[in-house]
Amino acid sequence: MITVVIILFIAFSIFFPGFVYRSRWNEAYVVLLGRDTILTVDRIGKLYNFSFSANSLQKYLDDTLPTNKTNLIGSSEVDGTIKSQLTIACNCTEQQISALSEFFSGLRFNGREVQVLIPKSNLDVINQPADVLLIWGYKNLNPYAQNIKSFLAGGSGVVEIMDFSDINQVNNDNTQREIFGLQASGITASDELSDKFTRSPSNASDIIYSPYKFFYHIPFPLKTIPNTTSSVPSDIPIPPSNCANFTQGNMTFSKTSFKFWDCVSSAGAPSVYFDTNANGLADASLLPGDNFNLTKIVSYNFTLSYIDGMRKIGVAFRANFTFDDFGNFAGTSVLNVAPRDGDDGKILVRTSPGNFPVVILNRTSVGRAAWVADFSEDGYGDDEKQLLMSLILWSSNKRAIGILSPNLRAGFLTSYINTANQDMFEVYKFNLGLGFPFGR
Amino acid sequence: MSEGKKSKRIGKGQISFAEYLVAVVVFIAFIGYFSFQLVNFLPAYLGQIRNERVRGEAYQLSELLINDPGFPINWHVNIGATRRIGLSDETRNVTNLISESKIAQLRTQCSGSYANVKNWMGSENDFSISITIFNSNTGLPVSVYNCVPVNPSVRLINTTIRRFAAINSTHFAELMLQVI
Repeated sequence: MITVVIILFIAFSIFFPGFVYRSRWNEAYVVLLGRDTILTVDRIGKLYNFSFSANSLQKYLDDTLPTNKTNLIGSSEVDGTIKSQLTIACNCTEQQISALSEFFSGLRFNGREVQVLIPKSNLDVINQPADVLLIWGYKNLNPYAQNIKSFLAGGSGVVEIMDFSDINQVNNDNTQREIFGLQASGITASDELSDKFTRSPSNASDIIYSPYKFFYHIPFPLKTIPNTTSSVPSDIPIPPSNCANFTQGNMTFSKTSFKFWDCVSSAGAPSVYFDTNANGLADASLLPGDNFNLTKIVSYNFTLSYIDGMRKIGVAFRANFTFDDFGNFAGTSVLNVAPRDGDDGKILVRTSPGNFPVVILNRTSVGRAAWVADFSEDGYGDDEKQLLMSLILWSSNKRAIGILSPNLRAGFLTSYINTANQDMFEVYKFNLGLGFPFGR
Repeated sequence: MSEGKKSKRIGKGQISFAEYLVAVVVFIAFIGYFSFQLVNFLPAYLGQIRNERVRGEAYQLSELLINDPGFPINWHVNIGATRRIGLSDETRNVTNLISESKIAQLRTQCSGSYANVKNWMGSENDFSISITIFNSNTGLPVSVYNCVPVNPSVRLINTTIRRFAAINSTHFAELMLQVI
């Protein structure tokens, strides 16, 4: 009898395991700490910095939730915005890679630097990981359509800088038709004078919203040459006590170069002296945030966004800017390329007076693609560089990327939508993970 | 077939004594097993329930301190009218942003009359509050405020909860609240 009872007890303990009370307090507490951490960091105004700087976030977590006391480790990721380390797989020449590196050198907006890595890539096997594929110069892309589609499926984008000489180069190329959404209709003799954005974006989901916003808000980095001078040739009086040394740089647009002098060792607030009428003499003293215009050809408005004190300033373009023959079409025959689906809203920039598109965007279920007429035949203006940069940033991969990413085995993620608006309105999702280095 | 053999047969719907015995044993074993489990589990379960109640109170008190401005919202300058204490900065009215002057007033009131503070917090249990203010640039503690009962009762069950809130762009606070 006793044996039977024992056997029954064992059987019951297998089929009816004992009562267990699980409070899940520890899990709730970790979620609460994650929420408190994000909100506190946001309230002290450091969330944007911590979002992109693993070291700063780690130091904060070490100060507030040290692992040796809490057993907690942190991880973070940023989702939906331009990465701080951008990789551009470039199907281009060494010279073009060198030029592209110079375009992106010192790129900074909303107070953060964007580092750009530009590996050379062929189209048979596209260099991975990469956030953007840039194809510079005409190529028959028909054989690479599937490769490019696979590349785009990972959330990355593609930009091509090329002119077409034949209608079949567009209409018989699946990549041009399906990925870039282009269609050519014929060649016309042209004498184009200028190029403008076709319109302002109507809302944030408009295809031109991001490239338009980037062009007009991201400060274009301008560097000065290392040689210092103790004086500035000027039309205006420059108090000698303000600055002991200057370095000189150039801003080029509409094929005109405008000099500026960056005060290297300022006794007071950092300032820049600008030659706004291209006569070689400084005529405006600018502080960060000041607006100015360049009046040599046509008056355009700019804003001096920052002076970083390391021979670099940032200048933001202000609407409405007009390019000077962006596609170098003057006196040539132009192949009229247009969106294949007839949606003129995808045209970002057009020529005048011929209304030929020179920048066409396409957004499909596969990814983002942009065609740009080759603007490089006659050197590069800073306005042209800014437009290319805007297109590359628009098409780049913005999927979640780990910033502070130890091997978090078990933990809880707290998501927070953050915004920044120092130079440009930027919205992204910040995920903070708090958890344990071991399973619980 | 003989009459005697007929009487030993079991009719349909009837069980034998042996089967009855097995059923009774299984039933008793089943009841015994669950009673044993219940008796073992009940004290631990009741302890956990008490724990939950204390944790819940700790969370409520911390939430009151971090995210409620108190009543009236400027109680720290109108202490005579105070009905409820909260440290949230009433001029900004956002979560996880507390007022340094309210922290200072809490400390003053606490050193004057802990019973008043306990009453304003609406807590049945004793609690202790420790607020450490950090410099957000260096991450180093700048000052510490404590509010503890005069004669704290010693209980087996107590819960500590840590919360964080900003004070301004240069300082943030760690609030450690223990319900005793």
